[in-house]
Amino acid sequence: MNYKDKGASTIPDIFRHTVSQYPERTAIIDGGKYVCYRELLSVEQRLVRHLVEDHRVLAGQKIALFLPNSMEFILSFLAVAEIGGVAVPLNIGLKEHELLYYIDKCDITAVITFRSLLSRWGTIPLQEKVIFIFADTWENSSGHIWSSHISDGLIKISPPRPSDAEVVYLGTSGSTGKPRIVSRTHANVIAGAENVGRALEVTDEDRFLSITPFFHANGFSNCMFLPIMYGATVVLMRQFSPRQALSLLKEKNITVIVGSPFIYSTLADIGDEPLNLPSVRLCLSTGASMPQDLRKSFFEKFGVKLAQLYGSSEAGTISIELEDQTIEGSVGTPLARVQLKIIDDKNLELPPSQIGEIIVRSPAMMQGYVGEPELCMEIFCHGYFRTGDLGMIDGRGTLYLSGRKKKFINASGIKVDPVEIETVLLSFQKIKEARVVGVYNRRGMEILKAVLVAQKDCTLQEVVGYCRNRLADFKVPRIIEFRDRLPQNILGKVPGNELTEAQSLE
Amino acid sequence: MTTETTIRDRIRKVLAHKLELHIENAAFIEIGRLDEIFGMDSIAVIEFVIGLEQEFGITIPSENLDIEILKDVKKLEAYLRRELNDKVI
Repeated sequence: MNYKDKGASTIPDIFRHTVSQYPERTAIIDGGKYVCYRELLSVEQRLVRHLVEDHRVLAGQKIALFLPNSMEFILSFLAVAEIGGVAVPLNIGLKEHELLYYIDKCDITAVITFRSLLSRWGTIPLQEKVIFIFADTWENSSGHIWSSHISDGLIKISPPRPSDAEVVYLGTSGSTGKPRIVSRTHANVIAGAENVGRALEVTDEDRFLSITPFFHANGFSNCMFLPIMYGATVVLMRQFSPRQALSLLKEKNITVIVGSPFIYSTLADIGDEPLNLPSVRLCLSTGASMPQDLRKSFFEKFGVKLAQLYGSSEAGTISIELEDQTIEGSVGTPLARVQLKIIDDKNLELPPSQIGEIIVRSPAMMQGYVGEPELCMEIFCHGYFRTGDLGMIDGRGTLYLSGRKKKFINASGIKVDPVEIETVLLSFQKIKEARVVGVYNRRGMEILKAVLVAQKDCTLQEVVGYCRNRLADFKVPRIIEFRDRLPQNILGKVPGNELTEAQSLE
Repeated sequence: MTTETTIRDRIRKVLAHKLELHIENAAFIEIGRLDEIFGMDSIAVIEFVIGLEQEFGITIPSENLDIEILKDVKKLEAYLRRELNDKVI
């Protein structure tokens, strides 16, 4: 990459640099549709014109992308970045109350979505707050943006955005019952992708299978922007299905997969025969720690080693385990330009091999949480971000994870704040007490369990129905257990370990 | 001979073993819709489909399958019965 020599410092600059270097290289494969970088730029320019002229989208505005992993998502992000707006990718599984929170918190003025997803917004009267821009009808009186007869003469966006301007807001779990929103600048996004790209030696010949959702920080950076930055190909999956993923791996000559332990375990689970995947050179696993059994079963079936990637929405990718020899508990060595320390409870740096909190600093690191400047003292320590994870570094600089300080549950790779779920449960009038904990299933992955003290006439169906109306499905507890009372320790607190044990059947 | 009862019981077994949903047999007979007893998010659906495939020895084309079939116990029973009959033939 020599984009810096060309003075490229923003996402539109990087995109143009890629187009100039690899105009005929396939940029995106979306089902049967193939688009090269030259075409992608052409359509993106028409979309910029459409958004500015037909929908009055302006620099500085926050534009929600309520879209699955799709060509439309990538085009929307590039166009919003070019206009100088801030893209806010939203999980399409969120329910109306959750969406309203993001609309207000991020000051969103427009939502780009498909008509088929409109019902997810429920009955909230949003017309006064936001405009909806439908990606399935991106057209004006001149025709659809894919029609080449629409002028693609570029609108002059003035003034150009600096590299330290915000370009994306990404949701992450908090620990106080409400999601937090991470703000990233052009420079943060570029630095994060470049850091990973260099470590993985990504080239324009790579093909990424984009399984991880783009609303997720890892999917956004490592499955979407990183390949674009390097002129590689993004092979899209709108919705993950293990059998379809295996077909794409074989048919589209995928070289890089960025997935989660859940994704890899389902791939290993379907079909009995070992499968040769000659084109695949990297299988990165992130979002949750990887069970050792999975490493073994995946390698036995596909002959490809799973490598752990460690990072966070706030700090970006921190380390990747790229050594040939797997060391149990290791998440590899920190990437270049990632500074990392282990500190104790008094914020003092610990020597190698001692366990403490992992704090990091890197050019990919977020600017802060949107609308919560008061949290800066809490989340930063001497300019380093507190990950909330516990770990240590050995004498060779290898990082190991050993636990976490922050209270969240890692539901198959998505962090869930138990307080948010408990707040919803307690708002149901038949529930008197509620605790939500994470329990490990047979795959070695965390799932949500709610332990409730409720009125005698409270049913499982009522609780699930109540939650489903207010929470995205992945936040609805998988296991719901009714008890006469919650156990308490001598301090009057509810010990989590007594809640994770099943009191129910079998 | 595969009966409705055994299909339903095997669905219950998949829910217990794959999704950690332990439901008494008597209570499960009363359940009409699975999405009323747990949040059927995309991950749960994938685990459920893999579990059904392994339990019944069939292939379920989940990409094209109407999700309602997986949520409604009677529709799911009918679907599985059809698939098993086709397999025998």
